Amino acid sequence: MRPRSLVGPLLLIALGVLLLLQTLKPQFPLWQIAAQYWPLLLIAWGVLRLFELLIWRLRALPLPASGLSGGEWTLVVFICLIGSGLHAAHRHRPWDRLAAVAGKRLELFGRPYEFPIAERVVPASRTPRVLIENLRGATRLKGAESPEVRVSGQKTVRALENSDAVQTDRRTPLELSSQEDRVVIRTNLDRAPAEHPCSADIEVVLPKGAEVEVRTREGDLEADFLKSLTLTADSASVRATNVQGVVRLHLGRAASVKLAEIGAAEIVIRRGRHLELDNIRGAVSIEGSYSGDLRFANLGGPLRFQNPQLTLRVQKLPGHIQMDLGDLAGLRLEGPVHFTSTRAVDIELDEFTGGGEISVDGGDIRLRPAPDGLGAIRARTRSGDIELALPESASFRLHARTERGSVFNHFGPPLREVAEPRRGGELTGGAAGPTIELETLRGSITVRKDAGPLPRLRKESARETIEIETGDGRLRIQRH
Amino acid sequence: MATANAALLRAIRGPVMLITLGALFLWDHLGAHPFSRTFPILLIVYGVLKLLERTTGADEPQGYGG
Repeated sequence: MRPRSLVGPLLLIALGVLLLLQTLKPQFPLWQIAAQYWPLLLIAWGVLRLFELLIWRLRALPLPASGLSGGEWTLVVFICLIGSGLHAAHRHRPWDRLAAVAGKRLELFGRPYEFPIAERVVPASRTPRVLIENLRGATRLKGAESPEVRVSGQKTVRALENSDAVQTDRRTPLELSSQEDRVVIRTNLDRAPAEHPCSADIEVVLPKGAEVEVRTREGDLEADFLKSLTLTADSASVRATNVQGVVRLHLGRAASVKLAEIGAAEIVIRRGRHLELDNIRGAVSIEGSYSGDLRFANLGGPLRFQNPQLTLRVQKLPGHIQMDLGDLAGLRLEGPVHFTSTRAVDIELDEFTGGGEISVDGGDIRLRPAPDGLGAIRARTRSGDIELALPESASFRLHARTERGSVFNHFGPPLREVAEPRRGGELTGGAAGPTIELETLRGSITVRKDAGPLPRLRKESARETIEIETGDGRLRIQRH
Repeated sequence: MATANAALLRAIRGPVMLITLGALFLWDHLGAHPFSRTFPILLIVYGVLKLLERTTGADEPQGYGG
């Protein structure tokens, strides 16, 4: 008779002992140990079986055809699956994240209780420095003629019961203090317990000469008629108008920033979406990434926009610039214009002066310098067409080159095509004046006489159109 | 005798594979080498066992060729 294995019962005994340990000593970290060391079970099983087989062999007992039966292998597979799962769960601790999410969503439970913030007034000078701390909620600032600071608003407390909400409201009183030239407004929301989150929407009426600093974590800001404004926030949308001096924004996330009639702007945004600047008298500097539309118009001073992907510099902007992640269209820029991007961007600049340097990783470039302000131009794209419209009377020195593609000279003399032995093309000419260098690695280059403003860039159709040069005209093939 | 040795080798194939599998998982969990990189060892061990079996001149059970 073939002997039966003792391994199964032995392992069962071991499992029983472990579970007993767990029940007798609850602090015994059975699951942690199991998650880390479950493979020892397989090893122990294998070693025991091995010894068993050797002993059988020494006793000259009949050996089984295979050391482990099919059913046992199935069990091994299950052990591996369960053990790996346990290990992964212990390492990545999904329940911690679940708890964090649950904590954040806690405010979904309970209901909002609203409390009015009674209006309070302190006298102030005509040019006070005002500090506002409102952790969560909207802040609205309004400049007025009277020399006083007036605060009112509404507080929302989320709680399961009214008594909790009332208590939280009492613990977070509005603070308004004035000392000489300095006014401090605090909503003290940080004193609220975590399980009763609250937010305050406040309206502050203050002298027009006020220099205001606002600190918030999450909340929107609206400001009108101030001397200067500084905002620090993790997440906020901002709309500010009629600020004499500088608007400084330090934002983590910003869904929308709109500034109009401002002295100057310094903006740092980690992740922005829409940005709109109109009528800024002084310098504008912007740092940060964005994912939506950007619009600049009527900037009296230099514009500097920078993030790891792109750099844009303009000396002055009497016209406007509109851009998103894949497009930049500008009208009446005073340069030199500097634009570099590590991404592909289609660029269209109309009536710009002072020349510029444009370098993009891909995309078409269409340029039409203003007739009376031609400056040195360097345009480079890795893959895309370049089109340049020059005034007929302009003097310049031009050199254009494509590695793979054609050059089209619609300007006529003094430009002439240089025979290019390979698949590219080269165009050169001119004697005096600013230098113009155009370069694309793959795409066509067209230089033509200025014949009016550029038609609006038609992004989709431009990509779907193939142009073929036929001696005296062009053949356009459009894909549908 | 050769046949008996072969029978033993065939019988210990399962347990040895099991030990190897456990060792690889343990290695993975202790952070030394991930299982995704060490799994070929299983093939090697299996191959070596099979080789030993063949060199002892075992008669394969019927139905297995090669």
